[in-house]
Amino acid sequence: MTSEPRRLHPAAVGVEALSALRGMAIPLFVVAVLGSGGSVGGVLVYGVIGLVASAFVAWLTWETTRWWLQPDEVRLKTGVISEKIVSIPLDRVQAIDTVHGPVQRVFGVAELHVQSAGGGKHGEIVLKAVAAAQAEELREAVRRAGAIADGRAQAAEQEATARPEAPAAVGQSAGPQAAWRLGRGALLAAALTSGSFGVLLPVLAGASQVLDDVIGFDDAERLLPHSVGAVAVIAGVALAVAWILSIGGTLIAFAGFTVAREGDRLRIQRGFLERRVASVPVARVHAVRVVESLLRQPFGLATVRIETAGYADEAATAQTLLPLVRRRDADALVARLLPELAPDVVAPLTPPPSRALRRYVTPPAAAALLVGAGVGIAFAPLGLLALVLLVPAVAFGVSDYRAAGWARAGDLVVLRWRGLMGRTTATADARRLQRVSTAASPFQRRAALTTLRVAVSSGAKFGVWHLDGPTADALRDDLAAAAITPPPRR
Amino acid sequence: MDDPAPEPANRLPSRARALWTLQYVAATLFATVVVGSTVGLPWLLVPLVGGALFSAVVPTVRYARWRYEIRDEEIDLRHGAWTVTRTLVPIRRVQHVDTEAGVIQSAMDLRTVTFHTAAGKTEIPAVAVHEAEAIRRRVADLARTRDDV
Repeated sequence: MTSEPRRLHPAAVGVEALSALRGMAIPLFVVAVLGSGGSVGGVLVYGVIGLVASAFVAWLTWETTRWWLQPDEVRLKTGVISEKIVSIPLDRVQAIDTVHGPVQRVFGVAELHVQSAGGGKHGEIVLKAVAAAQAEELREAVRRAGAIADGRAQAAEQEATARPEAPAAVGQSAGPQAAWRLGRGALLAAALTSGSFGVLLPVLAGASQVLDDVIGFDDAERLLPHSVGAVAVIAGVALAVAWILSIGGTLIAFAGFTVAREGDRLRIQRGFLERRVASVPVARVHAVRVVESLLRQPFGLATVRIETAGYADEAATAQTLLPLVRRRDADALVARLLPELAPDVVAPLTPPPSRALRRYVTPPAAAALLVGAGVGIAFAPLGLLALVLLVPAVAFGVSDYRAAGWARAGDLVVLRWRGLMGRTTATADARRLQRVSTAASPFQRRAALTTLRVAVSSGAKFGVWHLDGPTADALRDDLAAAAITPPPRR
Repeated sequence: MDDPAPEPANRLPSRARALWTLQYVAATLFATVVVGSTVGLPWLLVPLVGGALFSAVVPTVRYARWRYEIRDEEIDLRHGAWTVTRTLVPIRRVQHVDTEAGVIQSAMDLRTVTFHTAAGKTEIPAVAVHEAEAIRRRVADLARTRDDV
């Protein structure tokens, strides 16, 4: 029996229009200013055109979108020109996360992200605007399907083991076992130290493309800076803008952040303009990462992220467990929220052998030497000052060496290294590893050094460079053996 | 684990070396023509000599090193011309297995076998067609009985 197709709540038109506008805003602004020659009327006309265009596209999207709640699955059909249908069996629904954006709040609806256990491109169905009653209907259907699935699994288990199993712990306690909130001061600190300059790149890219298209090459040449001083000023302004954007972005995204352990799930809520709620099944969290970025490590601060199996790429809400904590508090907090991924005894990490120090220092030093020499020759003689880059390069190499290490603790493996994101300490369930590998270049082989890498179920990869060869090989085999053993039934 | 895991035993068919040589030679010719016609005649010696060296050395070393083995619980790979990599993939993590071939590969009855896990893919390049099919079936059967993420 196929149920009736449902439309999304009309608020979805507003949601789509808003996100289309957000994407178009900066290029549109640049086009408007340049194309109209700076007249206010011209800018307004472009603005109105943009608004009407996004509204039309949004309406068209809403008109061609349908979803169904079948007895056994939830299905979404989208696509104006070519139709795309994604369906998720109800008993494979891992979570229904919500987003309450400004439009949704005005109309009293919610954006639902239905996560399936499979992940990948069929891993998520997003319903942009669903009325509360229908959302509850969906949740109830999922709960019933999950209960049936659990019952079936229990029956199968009882048959297989041929002895009465204790009833599966439902784990729905009255309140959360452990909870944590991001205080206002911490939110500010997180925003100030976030330094995600990547925010600037798409803005710059969009602007430069529009500049290329709208004004000719000769005009663009006139706009370019012609002196070192001007370049420095523009770089400084760009950096400042990027910093401000990243501060604002962090404040908006993480305001009111709370995380709570409720039974076998982690409930993560965050967001100011868009309130997001994610309910992460703990059984799917297979690794934890404590990241001390360049801006945060000097203050003894860190971010804690979780690696979860089966989440679609854009489910960022489910990725951050603790946006900003003191490094020395991180382990204890993780032990309260995720005891499954906290080692019973905090073992000291085994560092790489001392002969590895040279390998850690050489690449950054060589790079600094090359850049310094290049700049020195090009801008001689003052450019030779660039050789001073050698000092921080060597310092980075040494700190990379000192950050590296590994440890085994029961079912867990701990790897620590300094990478692009900062000093990262990753704790993973060895029984859930997806892949373990060791690699050695000819230089490493000569010094009996090996690089160890593991991949976890979220797709994240962890690795430590230049470990002692035999030790790394033994660790690889040990981890592979752990990953092979059948996991316990949870 | 007391003893170290034994090294994988199976080698690729010898025509894998011919395949890679062909691919490198084709790339060398292409790069030589492109560089020669855009940058200038003397410069084409760079891709020509470099490519010739690569085509002569890399396929031989890579072929000599490649080893794979499909055990009951894991896939064991060892490979690499420059950096030697040893990879272990638990069978229970394999979600599905693909075989595919480009035009030249197909003509030489070779296939690339790709194992997909939640963390991405792992490949065995240039396996004989019948062997590729056997691997695919074996891993699919083994993975089915152990299914979990």
